[in-house]
Parts: sequence; C-alpha cells; structure tokens
Amino acid sequence: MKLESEFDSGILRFYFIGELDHHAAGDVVRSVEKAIERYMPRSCVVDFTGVTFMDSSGIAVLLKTARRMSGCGGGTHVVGASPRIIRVLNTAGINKIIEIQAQEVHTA
Amino acid sequence: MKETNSIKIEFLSRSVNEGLARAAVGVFVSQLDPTLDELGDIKTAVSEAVTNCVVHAYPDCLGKITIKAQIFDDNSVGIEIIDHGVGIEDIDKAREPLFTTGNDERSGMGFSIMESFMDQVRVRSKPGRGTTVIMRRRISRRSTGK
Repeated sequence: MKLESEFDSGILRFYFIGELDHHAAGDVVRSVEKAIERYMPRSCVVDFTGVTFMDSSGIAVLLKTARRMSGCGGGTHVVGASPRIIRVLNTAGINKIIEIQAQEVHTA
Repeated sequence: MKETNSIKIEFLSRSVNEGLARAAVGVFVSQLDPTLDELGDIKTAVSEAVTNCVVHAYPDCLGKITIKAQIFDDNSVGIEIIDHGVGIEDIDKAREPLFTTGNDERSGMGFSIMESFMDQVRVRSKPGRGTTVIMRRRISRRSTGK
C-alpha cells in the first residue's frame, strides 16, 4: 500500500494506492494523522481511485481520519471509490458520516 | 453434494499473511469461473476472518492459522478458517455490528461483512481453545457455452 498526499489552498488530499487491509492500515493511519497535524487543513479528501482491495480496515482508517478532521473543525470526503469499496463502506453506514463520491465513469 | 477439490494451507498469524491468505483462496476459487464481484466478496470475507485471527485470537503472540477450502459439485465453495487462540466468550456479541474488543484501528465490522458477502457464516469457538469460522458461497453458473 502506497500513500501520497498534497496540500493546496487549505485542502489536504490523500491518494491511497494498492491493497488497504489491516496489515497496511496502521502505517496509513499514522501518516494521515501526521499530515493533518502538520497542515491543519480546512478539509480532507481521500482518493480511492488507486485502491485495488479494501476490507473493514478501510472503515477504521476513514473513521479515524474523520474524527481527527472534526477535531480541527474540518470535513472528510471520499472520492474515486469503486462500487465494491462503496459496498464495504455502506455495510458500516459510513455514508451517513462521510460524503462518498463514486469513481467517475469515463466514456469513449 | 460432493467435494470435487480441496486445499489446506497453514501460516503464522503475521499480518503480512492476510494478503497471502485471500490471494491463495482467490486463486483456488477461480476454478469455478466466478465473476469479479463474487471473487471480491470471497477475498474480502477471507481477509476479515484471517484478520480476526491475527488481531484477536493471538493478541500477544504468534500462532498458527489454518485455511481449508473445498469446491463442491453444486458450484459452491466452503471455507474454514481455524485458529487455536484465545477463543470468543460471547459469539453473538462478537457478531454484532460495530462491536470490537480491538483498538480503534478496528471497526467492529468484520463479521457483518462476512455475513453480507457470503451465503452462510457459522462460528464455533471455545474460550482458551480457539475459533473456527465456516463460510459458504455459491458461485453462479455462467452460460459461456462450455
């Protein structure tokens, strides 16, 4: 699992790339928390476009991110989630806490 | 209903093996020509069950996790995930959504996801002896003219 981030105009954007499971989640949470503390963003966007697998560990990562963001008064948004990832997130009702946008469908 | 193929794999409860476990079961199940969705469901459920062993069954030590998978002639797959760890005191409580005895890196959704992604999930456990999770999933037959 690879994690990239960029900060621009008060928005902290994370790109998750690879398989997000329990093995990867610890490092991801630590990196996300460190970046939020450093930039104190107005809002945080988590881009799931590059995620090839996710189990319930991803739910815990998002809940922790949202909690940390609401601590500094900001919101958390998910973009680029595949139907499979949305299904996992919806099992936990995360869509009631965090705004989730599906992967864009590109037409030729 | 007859078993047509089976595998058994055993590995240590290191978190790095979570990926290996779901990949191995995924390759085995591929013999039934599942859709990507069916394969994803099974891999997710296996990942949840194995993570439970890593996090809860062996909280302070490494132990062995065994996976037995079977293919049946009705196009279904049976998967058992077996540990010899601490066991579960209250199985009904453990299966409740959002319940976890893990730290805040766990969501408490593992069993809920197994239940929603598989056709059948049974849990047998004895405190101090270990836990076995038995799951079943039927794979749709695709009319590919085979």
